[in-house]
Amino acid sequence: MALILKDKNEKKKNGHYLSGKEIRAIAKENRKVMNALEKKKHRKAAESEFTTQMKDDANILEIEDLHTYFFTDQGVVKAVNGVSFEVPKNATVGIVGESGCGKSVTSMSVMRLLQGPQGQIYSGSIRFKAADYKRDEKGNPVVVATAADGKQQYEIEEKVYDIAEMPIHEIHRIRGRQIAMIFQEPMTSLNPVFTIGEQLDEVTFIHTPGATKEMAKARSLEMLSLVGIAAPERVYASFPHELSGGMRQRVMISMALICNPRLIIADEPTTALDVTIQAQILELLQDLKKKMDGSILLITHDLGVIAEMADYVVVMYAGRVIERGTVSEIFHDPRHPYTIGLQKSKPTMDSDSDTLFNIPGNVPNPVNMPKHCYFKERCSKCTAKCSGEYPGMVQVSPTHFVACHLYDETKQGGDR
Amino acid sequence: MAIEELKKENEALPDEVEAVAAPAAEETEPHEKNVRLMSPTQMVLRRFFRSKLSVVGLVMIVSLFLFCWLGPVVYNQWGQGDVDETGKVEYTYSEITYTDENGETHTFYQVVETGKTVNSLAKPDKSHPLGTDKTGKDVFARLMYGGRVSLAVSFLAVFIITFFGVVFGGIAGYFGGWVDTVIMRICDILMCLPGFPILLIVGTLIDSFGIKGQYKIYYLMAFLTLISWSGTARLVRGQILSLREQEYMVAAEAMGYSAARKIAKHLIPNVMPQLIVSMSLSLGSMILYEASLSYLGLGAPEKYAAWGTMINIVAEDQNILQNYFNVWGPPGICIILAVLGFNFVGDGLRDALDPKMRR
Amino acid sequence: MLKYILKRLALSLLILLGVSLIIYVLIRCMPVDFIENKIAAMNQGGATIPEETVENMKKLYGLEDDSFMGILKGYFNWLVKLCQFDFGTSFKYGAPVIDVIVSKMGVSFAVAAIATIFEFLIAIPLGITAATHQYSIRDYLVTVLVMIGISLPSFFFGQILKNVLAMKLGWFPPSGLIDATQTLSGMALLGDYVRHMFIPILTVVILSIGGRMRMTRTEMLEVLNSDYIRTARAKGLKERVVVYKHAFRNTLIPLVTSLAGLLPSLFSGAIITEQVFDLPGIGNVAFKAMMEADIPFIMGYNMFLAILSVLGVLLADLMYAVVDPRVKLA
Repeated sequence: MALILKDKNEKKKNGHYLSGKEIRAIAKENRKVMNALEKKKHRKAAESEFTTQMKDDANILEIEDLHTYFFTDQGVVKAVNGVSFEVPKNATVGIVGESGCGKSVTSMSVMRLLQGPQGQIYSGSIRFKAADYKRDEKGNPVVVATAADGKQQYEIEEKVYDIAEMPIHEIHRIRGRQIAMIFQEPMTSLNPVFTIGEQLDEVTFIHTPGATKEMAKARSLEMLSLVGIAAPERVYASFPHELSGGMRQRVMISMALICNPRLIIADEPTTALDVTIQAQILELLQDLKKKMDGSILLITHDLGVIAEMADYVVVMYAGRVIERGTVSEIFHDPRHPYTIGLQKSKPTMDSDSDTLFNIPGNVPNPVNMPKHCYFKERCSKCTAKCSGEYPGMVQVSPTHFVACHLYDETKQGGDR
Repeated sequence: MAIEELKKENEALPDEVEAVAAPAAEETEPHEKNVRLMSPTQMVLRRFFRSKLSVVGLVMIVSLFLFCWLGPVVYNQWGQGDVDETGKVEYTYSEITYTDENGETHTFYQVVETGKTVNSLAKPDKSHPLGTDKTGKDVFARLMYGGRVSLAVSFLAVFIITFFGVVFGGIAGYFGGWVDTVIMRICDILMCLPGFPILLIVGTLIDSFGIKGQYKIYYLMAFLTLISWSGTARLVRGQILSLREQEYMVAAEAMGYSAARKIAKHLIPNVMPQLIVSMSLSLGSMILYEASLSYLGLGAPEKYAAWGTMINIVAEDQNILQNYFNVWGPPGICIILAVLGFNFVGDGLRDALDPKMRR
Repeated sequence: MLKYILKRLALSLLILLGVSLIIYVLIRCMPVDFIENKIAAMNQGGATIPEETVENMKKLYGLEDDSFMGILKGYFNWLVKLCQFDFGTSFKYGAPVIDVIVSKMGVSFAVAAIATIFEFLIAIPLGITAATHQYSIRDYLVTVLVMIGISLPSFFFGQILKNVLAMKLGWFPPSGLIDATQTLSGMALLGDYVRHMFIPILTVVILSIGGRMRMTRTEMLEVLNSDYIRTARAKGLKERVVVYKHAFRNTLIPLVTSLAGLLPSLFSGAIITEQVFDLPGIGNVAFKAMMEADIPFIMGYNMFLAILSVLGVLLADLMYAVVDPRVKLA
């Protein structure tokens, strides 16, 4: 009782705390929405319900107006708030932004790895072009040919899935086989009680029907040497804790490669590693990019990594895409004041100034976002228009889009 | 069908989400100023009350306390040692034979009221809501007085254990070195002491000193506190050790904060949540300990009520076990309620206070 | 490895020394005439304790000499005898304490071992469901039932089961270990044992499931929130495999370790449960001995328990190294 009373006083003082009534209202609403979304997530659905068509056949992944929310006790956190971009075939797309801008949540949404029941894809679509086994009516893969040693070949067909609409128990069609993920924390991302071999082989076993132990091991060893591990046999038999961080990240990458995925999501793959290892891993990723037949979605806050690796760049701020284009457009012709600020805040050897540029202020609180542009309070080029509606996406070149009121006329004028 | 419904729901959803959000920011003020969050206390309370079980536990404990302390004030016709002597009136009669002068014999019966007997094992009725026990004492009243002993003793024991634990754990963790080693070895020894059998020895020992029966349970529980602080001490020591590794403690060191300030500002707030949780959970086990000791006859003599003692009776009397649940059932249910209440609250507190358990 | 075990053994000896000192001091606190009175009471009650047994006992614990040196000498004499596995002779049973303990251990062990097996078999699946369905109705239901289990006083719950299952329904015998009215052998005797032990085992299982299940749930929740579970999901494993292979294998580490810690409880006997059901187990015997101040037995029994718990702690540490590949003993 005393505690509650104390809170009331606190609230009177600064008005920054929610009242008990508001908290209960939030909890009630959250429960309602979360239950509806959880029900949707666990529903039984025919394949036709989550198969769809790509807008542009050259793309492998199209994200359109994705909203991913976290229903917390303090209100709804709109971690991803209407994000749209696409990943073309065989291209590397980098998502860049400060921590907490929703880049990781976007990737988690694609993998459907959000921690339920709070984290939910609220609306939007994630279209992904998968190469799945063709299945007969019973759901078994269709066999094309059977080799002499009993190995079967299956018919493969391209299907477009809307991952956001998929029931959660169908998601194993996508994970690992079609889209693989490399995580930020190699130190904790491997199961401590299984050997590296066991964990690698497992991927083959899940996704290749009729895989034998020998096949799986051969594949795992092949991948381990592909990622530059000198003694694959020894690493294969070790436990994760016996390896260094860089080694573990290599193992994670080899695990991602085992099933020849069409898309690899690398979520800050180098952040937790020290600088020399970072360089090695980046080199490895670049090397693999050439060798593999697939796309990479690279998530990072490091502009240098993006410049080196990516073909296309998506800049995110507070759960929204504020600018996207090819890597040269973003680096040589940045339009959004935030992107410009980001570029300026990068330390360079040749600049004269001895102080680093920084963007003033902080990312707004994720609960209760304002109606106007989220960058307004930190922006140096603010105009009267900025207090109005959130700016729409303006196309400045066939591949370059920006969400800022500064360029509103260009849309109407058509040239710049 | 279902999917269309869901789609409809989906369409309906955005408005709801907007409605949930706290009142929108006023345009004139910077947005940041208008963000309203929960205070830390609110967050803990919210997490605690999210679980209905902790609320149920809290209600159980509060009502038991009211029952035991306020109950006897309202229900005051029987004390814990009062024997109901309004049993059926007993008579003795003697035959008097008298022969009159005619030679006829007359037989008389002389009836003498010899006194009232004890109203033992009465079924529940108006004057005894739960009946009476074998010696004619009111079960309902004894339930309240027994609860006082159980609850008070357990609370006292837990507080003393926590005190010892914090002091020894704090010393061991803060000073380290040989002090730490000695205290930790003592903890090891205490942890390997067989608790219950040792208490039985102490029970015999107390007998040998001729200490009055009604105080026996206090001595026993006092001894129990002496050998039970090792768990708390380890908890506190562990917390201090891990705290010393934290950067902010290094920072506090670098700022030249005094030991007292470091302890008050960093140590206590960090250990408190875990201490509160462990205290509420050990309250339950202390009540069980006390009841078990009373049950084994190591508690107060029969005249003084205690929940465990009240159940003890069935061990010797099969008749009561089979036919008089109203005598031994209620104290058992009270023990369960008390222990369950503390466990529910402890569990709720752990979920609310332990950052690791956060959803 | 060997060095570690030796170091731990040395430490265990130190702990045992401390425990023995505490127990000895407690017994020495007892006034001698109190002991003599008790012995007299026992003799009056029909027992015949030869004078020399009492004298031996007094010598064993150095009870005659109350000076500080005397107490010290008494303690060391007792300790030396202890190292020769001479725990003294029980007054009540007129036999060496060790023999009494060994002869009564079987029943207690049978009850505890069977109960422990059922405890793990029931509690672990319950804990896992509760964790994987956190905050669901299933979680609440399991949690409530289990909490009630933890909160039951063994003597009360035992009496209720005895009353209902044995007295009212007559399915099982209410107390004791064998049916005294019949002479049985072979399978029939075994069946009789099982019938007699059923309610005590049921009591112990229901009381202990709760703690184990809560432990499983907490561990499972922690594991399920870890990064490597996310990796396992990202590989495309079905949720069932994620939970029962990747998560469970990690949850198993503390569970198996705790199994080693249960060692003392397997042999020590459940004092109250055995008391309620009048099982001739070691707990029951110890309780009666303590009520009658059978000092040699009390000390022997307590030392026996202490040795078991020291061994339990040691074994738990070793088990940890066996199940968790990360742990290297050093």
